[in-house]
Amino acid sequence: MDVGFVLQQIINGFSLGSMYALIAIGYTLVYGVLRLINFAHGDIMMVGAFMTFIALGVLTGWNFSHISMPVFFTAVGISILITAFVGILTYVSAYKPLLDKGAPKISLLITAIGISFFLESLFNVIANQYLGGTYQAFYFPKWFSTIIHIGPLTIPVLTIIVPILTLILLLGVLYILYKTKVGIAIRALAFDIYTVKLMGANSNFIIGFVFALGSALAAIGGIAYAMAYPSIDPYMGMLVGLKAFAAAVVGGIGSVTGAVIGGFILGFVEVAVPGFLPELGGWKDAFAFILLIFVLLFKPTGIMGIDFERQRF
Amino acid sequence: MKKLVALGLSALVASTLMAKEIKVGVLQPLTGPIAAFGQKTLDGINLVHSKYNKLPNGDTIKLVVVDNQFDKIQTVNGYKRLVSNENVVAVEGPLASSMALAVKRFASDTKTPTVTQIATNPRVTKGTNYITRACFTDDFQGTVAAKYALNHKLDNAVVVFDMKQDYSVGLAKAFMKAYKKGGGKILKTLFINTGDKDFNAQVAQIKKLNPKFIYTPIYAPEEGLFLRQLRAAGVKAPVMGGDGIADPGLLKKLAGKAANGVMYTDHFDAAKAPTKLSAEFIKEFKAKYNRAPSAFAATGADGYLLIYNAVKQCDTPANSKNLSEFKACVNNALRHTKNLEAVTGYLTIDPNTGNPVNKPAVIEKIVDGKTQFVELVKP
Repeated sequence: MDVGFVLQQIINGFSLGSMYALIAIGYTLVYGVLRLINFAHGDIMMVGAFMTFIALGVLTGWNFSHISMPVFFTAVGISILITAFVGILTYVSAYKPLLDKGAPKISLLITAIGISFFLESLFNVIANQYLGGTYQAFYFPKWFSTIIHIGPLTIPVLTIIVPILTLILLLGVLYILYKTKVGIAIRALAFDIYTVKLMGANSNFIIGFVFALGSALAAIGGIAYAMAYPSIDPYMGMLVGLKAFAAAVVGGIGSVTGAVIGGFILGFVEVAVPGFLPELGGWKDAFAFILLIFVLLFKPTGIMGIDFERQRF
Repeated sequence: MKKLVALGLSALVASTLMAKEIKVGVLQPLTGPIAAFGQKTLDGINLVHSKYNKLPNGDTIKLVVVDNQFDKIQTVNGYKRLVSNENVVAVEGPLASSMALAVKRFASDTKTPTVTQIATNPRVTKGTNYITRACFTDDFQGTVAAKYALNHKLDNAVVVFDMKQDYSVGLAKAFMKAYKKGGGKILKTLFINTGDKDFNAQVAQIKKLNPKFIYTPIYAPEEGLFLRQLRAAGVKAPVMGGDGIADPGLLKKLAGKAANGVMYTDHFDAAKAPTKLSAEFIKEFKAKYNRAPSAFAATGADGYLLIYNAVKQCDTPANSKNLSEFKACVNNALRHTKNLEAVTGYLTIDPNTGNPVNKPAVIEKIVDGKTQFVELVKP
């Protein structure tokens, strides 16, 4: 086992982990504020990927043979905006009416699962009616697949960009949470939603912002995932969403940094098991979840385990 | 003259009053992961139904179409609805083996003649008298693939199958049995799961083993990405699959250039019409849908023709009063089908097994993005 091979696996793990991390941040933010596990979040990531595909199609006239960078980033921008909007829409149309009526958390959870199925079915209909089939190939500028040779390593550009982008976005989220007014409001809301409302803060705006932020990050995660495995379908968010959720729990749900760490760990295991123990490659998902159980046995609140009485995010 | 018209009119009224609608259920995946297969099947069924919907005594056959979404629960619910609420005399479907296995017990319990047009797993028709198959089984399909490989001196192989699909597990077994018997060596069996997108673990192992042949009895969505990752890793060995990957459009879309050279066993090739009826079918299909019929459309049509032929024999005044006797008669007629001219050839059903006798397979290959006929293999 040479150093190059090990390094290669580490880079691949970072890349896959980043995608989980981006989605996990959304789980953790919403959980921190509403104590709600938003099971529709994995499907929000699928919406991000599909919207990019559709926007690219419209911009290029459904001719994907040559996609220029400006066109691609316009499509990505449009998709992030729409996905953020879809995130807000799920809150306003599904969760808010229940919260206003003081519904128990379990009802919200069921609603989240309902939204998840709704989004999957909706995009299944869209894909079959207008895009010509459930499965679509995902197209992007060729530059992202350019391979860089560093010593013994062969690394596609995308594999390096995604982890860097994730770390920048993490810093951005932490900046918003700790250095801006909205961030203070979010943290206050996470402490005590009722008092914040009594203080006259617009809680709906703040929660809407949290959903928009989480959804936008999920969209970026979804686009990165679609570029790494260039096939998209309406059910792609199910397993990825579940893994991102597990990443959020292992990192310590409620902690943004924890979500990113959890995502990286999960990505590493998933790459390392088939990489170092190829015989067990087919069981990689099982190994990822066994590790999660182990971590939780020793640190029941997750790695960055948050004591909800004292701190937030 | 007036009298004559009146007489004619009353006769017409009487005959339309007397003419009944006989319902036939169609249970196919019209949405969901393999919706493309279901839609193609339905195109074929609709085309033959539009031509063969009148029975000699003036009755008509009406199709009741239900979507099973490639989901076991939807399949069972849809089947029960067709049988108990719609009172169909027969059901065509479901398409996939795992779904056909899910309705097997209900077919026996409710004694409903069921024709699965393309579920190839041998267990589908075993232990029941009410499921009849319109296609060859995986035992044959696997043998065809094994023989092809051995005839081309590809004497060691890796098998990649989908652990979650009865079809895939069964076909992998059938291939390995025939391949070992013929002197081939299985280097390794690797598995994947439906919905997987990352096959680098499997690809890395294949690269290390360097087999002469790779057999992939999985479905097209996974095959597309598998091929892409396999070829990107530099593995050049020929790859062959079963009818589950017979969706060249999707393979090309997902795998791009990596789809070139992949082979699969299939039920039908539109370039080789085996009967007069199939030549007509291909012509009309092209006129109506602007493309050549796939194996799914052809087997879909075959399933309907089997049912039509059976209902035609059983639609007597006595039977039409008693649904259960009608169904028993249809089932018996289905099982004793002899030399029925259909789209994929002449169909003869073995009354004991419910499987067709002497059904040939074609081997197809994707070359430069186009499907090419390789050879016809008879049992």
